[in-house]
Amino acid sequence: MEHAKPENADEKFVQMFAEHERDLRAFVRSMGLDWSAVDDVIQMVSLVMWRKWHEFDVDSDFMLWARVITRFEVLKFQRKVARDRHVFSENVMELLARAAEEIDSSGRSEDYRNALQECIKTLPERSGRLIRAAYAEDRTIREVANDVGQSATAFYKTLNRIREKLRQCVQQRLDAM
Amino acid sequence: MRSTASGCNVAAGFGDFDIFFGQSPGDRESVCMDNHYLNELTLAQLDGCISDGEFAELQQLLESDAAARTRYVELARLDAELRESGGTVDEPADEQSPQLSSWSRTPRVAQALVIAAAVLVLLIPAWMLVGPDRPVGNQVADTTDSPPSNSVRSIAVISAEADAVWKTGRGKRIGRGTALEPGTLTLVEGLAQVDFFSGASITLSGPTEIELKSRKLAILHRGRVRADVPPAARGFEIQTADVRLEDLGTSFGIVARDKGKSSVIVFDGEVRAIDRGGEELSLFEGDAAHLAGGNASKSPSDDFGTFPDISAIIERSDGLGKSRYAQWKSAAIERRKDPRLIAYYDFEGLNVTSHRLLNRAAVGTGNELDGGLVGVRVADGRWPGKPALDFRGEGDRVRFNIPGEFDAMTLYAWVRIDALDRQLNSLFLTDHYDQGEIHWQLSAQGALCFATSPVGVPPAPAGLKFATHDQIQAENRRFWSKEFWDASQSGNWFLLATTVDRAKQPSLVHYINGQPVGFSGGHNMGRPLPKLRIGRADLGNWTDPIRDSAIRSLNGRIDEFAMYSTALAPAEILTIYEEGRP
Repeated sequence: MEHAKPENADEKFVQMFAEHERDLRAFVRSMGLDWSAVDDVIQMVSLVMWRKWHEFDVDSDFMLWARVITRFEVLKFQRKVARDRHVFSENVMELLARAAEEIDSSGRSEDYRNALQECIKTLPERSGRLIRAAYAEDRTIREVANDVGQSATAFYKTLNRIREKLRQCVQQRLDAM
Repeated sequence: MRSTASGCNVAAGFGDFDIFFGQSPGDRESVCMDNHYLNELTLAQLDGCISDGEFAELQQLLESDAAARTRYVELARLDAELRESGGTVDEPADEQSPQLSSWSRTPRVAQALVIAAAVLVLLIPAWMLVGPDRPVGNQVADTTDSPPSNSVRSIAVISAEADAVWKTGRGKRIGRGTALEPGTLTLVEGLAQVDFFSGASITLSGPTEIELKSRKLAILHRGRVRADVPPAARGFEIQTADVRLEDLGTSFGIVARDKGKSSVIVFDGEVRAIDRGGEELSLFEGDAAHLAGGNASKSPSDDFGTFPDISAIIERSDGLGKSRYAQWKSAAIERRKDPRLIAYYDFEGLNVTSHRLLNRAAVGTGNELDGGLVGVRVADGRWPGKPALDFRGEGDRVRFNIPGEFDAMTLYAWVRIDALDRQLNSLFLTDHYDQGEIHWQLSAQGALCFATSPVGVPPAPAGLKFATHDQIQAENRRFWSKEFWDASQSGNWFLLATTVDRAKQPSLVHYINGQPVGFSGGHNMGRPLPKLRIGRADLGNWTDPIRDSAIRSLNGRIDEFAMYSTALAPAEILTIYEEGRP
């Protein structure tokens, strides 16, 4: 007998989804899509997951289940937009997904966020300001560069250096856990 | 970050790669890829400003080099997190608009889903919500009307109580240590002290009804309150029907009576009373005032009644705790003789040198069923001096090996849940999850969960980290209780009990604090259960999980645990609660 649908299954789904949406977006992003494509895919993923929610085994890992669905949706999306500029081949997307899964499964996302927070705190004040300027507002590199009185090229170069520094810092912290 | 072709273009800006990166195109083919160049390509792709040539190059690199893929994923993750957080360090939430701030941080899609789900719930006809195989006697009220959220924005905590009787909604139990979110607090009788996170402290004398608005503001609807406000919390306000009292440091007492009449007396320091018309009245040590009809006027300090000293009363109630401990102990000694026990652990006599948790059941194989302590520490249980085991670290557990097959079973434990850190948090989990083995645990959402399955989880095929779940998914019997716990209950002791009987329908009942609770969900709840088995198992953890990554260690304490080979009757569970409540 299939048991009657638990009355708050929908809420549970919304809660689980909200909890992991950020990780799923990062996962899709890791497969090479730009942000507007990430939005589209995540929208689809949420619908598919909602439809399949009754199949989910609560004793199993939500992200594991979510990634399987997400991967499938990303590849479906890839086939639609494959001829657009700068969309990776299916093979590369699969490889990136696998790399992302390996990295994600070795750590908890709170750990990542905490590590990043700590790393941002250790940035020199000016670097922190640049990162905020680049990410906090919806503006172009050129506009932000103008504000900080640098050429776009020089600003971009600095920004990349800070991002690499943050990447290293986060990975070191995660390795230390 | 938004990018446009003109706003962010690596190649255009740098002109010549060879000069800029100090590297010839030939080098890029080398096995040891230059990470700097890889970074530039990856970030250009992430920022949407990569050229066709660079894109082709990046794609080829990713295809051929695992290290390049790792780097790509790391940078993409960083980019995603920076974008979500706006590149800033999280600040504590704004105290003025807690709901708004938590809402606005929920990602977009989830927001839309919250609304969609709310609509959906309304569309479900009522008859669908009451399944035929639902047990009766839902004592813990339904909480599905509150928005799903793990965030708790406490503003105060109950720091002491003496013979306090609270009126609570939604089946919640509050007491010393309960963190309080904004809302109304009703003390029916007794005394209680509430510490606001601003540093202000109030002592309520029942009956009192007070609405906690923020760390610095409370509204007294009726009753008697004494406020103590240290300098750091200066500006703490208590409002009555139509007068605001602002404490300028130190302490005052206030009584709110019917029809908006209230009186205030200042014990120490200065209080400013501001009436509806905005008129201010300053009151100093020894001053008293009547507040009525929106006006504050000074009056002689007569007939205020007393504002009792809670510390003296608490000393008395400590004695009460000791007598409750004694009462439980004599009941526990009787309980050992119950022939229906599989094993019984009263946690008495534990100390820092203990390695074993002794099985006190008079029947059966005696010390064969003792538990082995791993990592856990001895700490205070329900009463001062009552030993408990404190589970905190990822490795903490008590190991058991309990043979046998059972047609019915009761598990109960007195548990203090400090936090539900994991998706699932172990109470008592058999190693792995083989046929008929039982899993008794708590969900992150605060539900008591029991599961068993007529087929086990097969071992993972060679080369894979975990097995496929198709069959177990179809067969698994899962029973989740209504959600009874959230972070505001942290530190409270609960009697958690589950009775199972293969011959009955429904076959399983969850109990919280002696009362049966309904289900919030589950799978295959109406289908026959397998014979139940335990074997090797952990209290507070999970050994040999079905996935390497699954961590279910408990964060909290346990000070009594029992297993019976029968489903105890509801009245028996209630008695266990009555005899053991803190």
